[in-house]
Amino acid sequence: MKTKHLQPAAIFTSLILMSGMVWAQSSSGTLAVHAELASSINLTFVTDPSGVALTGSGTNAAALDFGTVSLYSTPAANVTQTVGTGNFMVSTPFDVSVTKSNVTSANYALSAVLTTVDGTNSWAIDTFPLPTSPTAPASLTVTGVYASNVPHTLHLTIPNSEGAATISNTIDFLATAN
Amino acid sequence: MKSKLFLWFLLGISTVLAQAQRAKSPNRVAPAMTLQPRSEATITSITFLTVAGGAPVQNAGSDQGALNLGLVSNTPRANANGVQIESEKDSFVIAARVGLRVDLSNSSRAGTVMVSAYLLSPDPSGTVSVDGVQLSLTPGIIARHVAYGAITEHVVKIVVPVSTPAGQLLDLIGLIVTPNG
Repeated sequence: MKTKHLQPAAIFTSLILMSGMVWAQSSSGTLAVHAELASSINLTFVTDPSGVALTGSGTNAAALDFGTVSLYSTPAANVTQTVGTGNFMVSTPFDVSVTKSNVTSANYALSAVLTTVDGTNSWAIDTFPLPTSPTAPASLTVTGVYASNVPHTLHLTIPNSEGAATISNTIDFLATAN
Repeated sequence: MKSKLFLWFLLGISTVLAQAQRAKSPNRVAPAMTLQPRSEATITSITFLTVAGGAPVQNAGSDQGALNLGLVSNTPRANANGVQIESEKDSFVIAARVGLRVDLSNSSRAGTVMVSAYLLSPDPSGTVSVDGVQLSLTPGIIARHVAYGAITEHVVKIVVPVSTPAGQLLDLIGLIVTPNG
């Protein structure tokens, strides 16, 4: 009598064991991930500790505002004013940081150019007058150091004869890995 | 009494094993009841899928997928063709979402699987992770309970140091799905 009960129990147990063996089997697959890695360099403008605050500091599209300037008034903080013969110049430093990625390059070259013709005022960075595009950009350095805030100074020279007006322009910067 | 019980237990195991042996013989018809589970286990399939807003994934044959991240560089971007790039101090991170589905041929079978992932070969130039689990040559669990037939989304991330030379990046990610008992 007990034997009849035990037989199905044993078979059932065996099936359970077998089932466990089957379900413990694993399957596998493979995902191939492919990319084309390109080298790059990145330029950002940074507010210089001695310069006016840049709008968009830390990005590659910043704005620098000299504020209100005139021949006989005191310039804004961190703006230097120099009176010349028949004109005056306002200046302020700003920093440029260029970083490199996935490229072998010892240093970089930096150039700049005005995008809009200004027939009245003169623009310069450091000691280099800025031409207007499509004229070739002015070279600012050919030995720029990567990953450091390199200070440059923007100079704007305004004739005394110029009437009150808003002066603005856009300067394009081009960094090239050497 | 105990010895009888043990004998019946052995008999039960031997009966099933004998049936399994007979099933391998081409001249005999195997009992469906015992063969069916073995049949199911051998046809588990893994499918890699493109999910909405995710990176394009191509199915490259049985249990094979190909994820092409395209041209990447250390230039941050929110989402372009399902690929995101974030810049970090000395590296950048490429992230892409992919879909995964595990199927059984017998769709009536309910259950879940555990999914593990690993690298088929070491990646000297970067770090690869899936769902935050950094991959190595040893499988790591990325999901413990995935239902059969369900599409699950997973995030593949590759950290590329800025010192890595430009060129081709190729990582082979192996997946292992293990049925949960």
